[in-house]
Amino acid sequence: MLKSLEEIVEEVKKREKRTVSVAYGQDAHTLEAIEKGVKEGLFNAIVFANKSEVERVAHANNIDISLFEVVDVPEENEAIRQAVRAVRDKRADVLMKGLCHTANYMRGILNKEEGLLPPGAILSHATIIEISTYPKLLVVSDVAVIPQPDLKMKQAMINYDVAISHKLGIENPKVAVIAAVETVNPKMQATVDGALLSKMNERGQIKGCVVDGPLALDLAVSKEAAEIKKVRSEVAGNADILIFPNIETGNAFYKCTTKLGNSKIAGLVTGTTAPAVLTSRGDSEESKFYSLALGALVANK
Amino acid sequence: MFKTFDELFAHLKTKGKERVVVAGGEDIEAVTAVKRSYDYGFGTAVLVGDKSKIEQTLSQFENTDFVEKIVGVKNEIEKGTVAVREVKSNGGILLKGQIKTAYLLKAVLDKENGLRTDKLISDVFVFEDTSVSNKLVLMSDGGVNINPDLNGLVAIIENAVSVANKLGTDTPKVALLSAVEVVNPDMEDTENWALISKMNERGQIKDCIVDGPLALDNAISEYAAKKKGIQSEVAGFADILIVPNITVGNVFGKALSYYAKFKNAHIIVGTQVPVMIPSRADKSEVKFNSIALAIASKN
Repeated sequence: MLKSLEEIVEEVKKREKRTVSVAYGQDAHTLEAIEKGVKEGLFNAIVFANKSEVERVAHANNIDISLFEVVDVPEENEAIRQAVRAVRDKRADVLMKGLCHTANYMRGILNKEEGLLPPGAILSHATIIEISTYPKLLVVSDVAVIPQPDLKMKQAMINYDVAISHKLGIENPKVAVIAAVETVNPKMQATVDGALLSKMNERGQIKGCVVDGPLALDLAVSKEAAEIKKVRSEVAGNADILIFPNIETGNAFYKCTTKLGNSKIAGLVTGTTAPAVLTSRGDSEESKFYSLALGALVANK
Repeated sequence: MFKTFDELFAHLKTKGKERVVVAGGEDIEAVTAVKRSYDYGFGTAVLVGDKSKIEQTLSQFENTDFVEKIVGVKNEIEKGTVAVREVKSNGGILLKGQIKTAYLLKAVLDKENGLRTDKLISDVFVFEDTSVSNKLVLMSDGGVNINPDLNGLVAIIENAVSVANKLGTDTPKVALLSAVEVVNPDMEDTENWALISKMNERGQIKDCIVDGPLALDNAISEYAAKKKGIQSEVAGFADILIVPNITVGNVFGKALSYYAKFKNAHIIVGTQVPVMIPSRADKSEVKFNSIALAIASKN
């Protein structure tokens, strides 16, 4: 079981090398993360971008672009299209966002004919958080893609996060469906969804994990809180996965851990046929690197 | 839980006689059922109605020792109000005799002088299962609440649990019935059942073990539950079956009574004392069983 982002990096180094396809990778942060990953032997990379711009940025930031292939595509949307196609054609295994706008990048992924989303699949997002106050990695959803997930979407999120947890070596991850309280209150949809998802898990409709909800955050991650509140639950105090009721809660949670706590994070778009890295401009180069490592791990069989 | 009605009768016998107040005591069938409870040693009759007509009814009995009291009233409406008053001031349980159900209910539900409590009023049906689980099993609500919402269903469960407690089961196993055992957002009852079973897990519904959704076969047959791989403390061992609406409960109760020919009884609870409103088609045995159930369920 991998317990830190650094352990993910070390694990990826042992595995068969994967290839990252970088959409419009012509900014320093992206290229530095790619350079670091290739240098450390985590993956190979193909960068689809304006080659002269790549050269300029590389020169200014002392980045060695001979380490990876650069395909000259000057226009942003075309670069995205070709980067996605490389993944579709299995020339690459992980998609990475460069300097392109998030909306354009997502359109490339969602494109019905040429994208990475299977028909009927739900697109979501998983963030892996390493924080010194918790003994293991936390997989959380959805802090970035679905604003107000319904039951079906939350079910999909759980399935995606469980698949990632399995890749992290957690055989039967404990999933906490987060609400403000641990009791069922029909006036709080989060508690209703928590109860439904937990029953669906009990009945084998959600497999490969143990789901409990509703759980307040303290109950999900603190054994002490669970004991004080006398909540009998396999998940309470020991969660591997946190499912948040909406994007505001999830987003505030992860930013709280990174900006007010000392967490490190990695993130992936989920639901796609191959892992796709979607880091926000505010995320550090380190988190881009860890996201790539996570993508490479998930892309491994 | 008592395994049979006979066990229940034997138990009641040891507790002394309870007053059975009959609203409309002219009704021969009601009076016959109360007499039988007297003969078994657990009931006496308090007959409220037209005095001369009641006496006419009683003339058909050789011995009227079973009658504790006759209360004469002037009209049909008073049968209800006076019978309720009789129960409130002197104790006992209430049985519908020759009175329109609407009049009796009006008296029972009257806010000031009726038998209401802060609880929901619901119907509890008890049957003697001689084919699968070989015990008395409770079912609710096939008689009062038409299409209960989440809170209504919780109250129905609590009422049924308190009856099961009276029948000797401290922590009854409650199965929430649907057509399937999985959660399906297109079937509202499966969602309600999932919520209610979590509410039980979190201590919001006490003194019982609740699981649902469960299909009937999973609820009552250990074999069926195992075959379907359902892991549940309740599946295969249900003491109480809760149905999503009155139609399911009503059909279920009548199927057990007519096709399976299980002995059965039904009472209304959530009132200060249990109330029996037998259907006109109920056999006299059902009325008698219901008197026993009502006495056992009384606080």
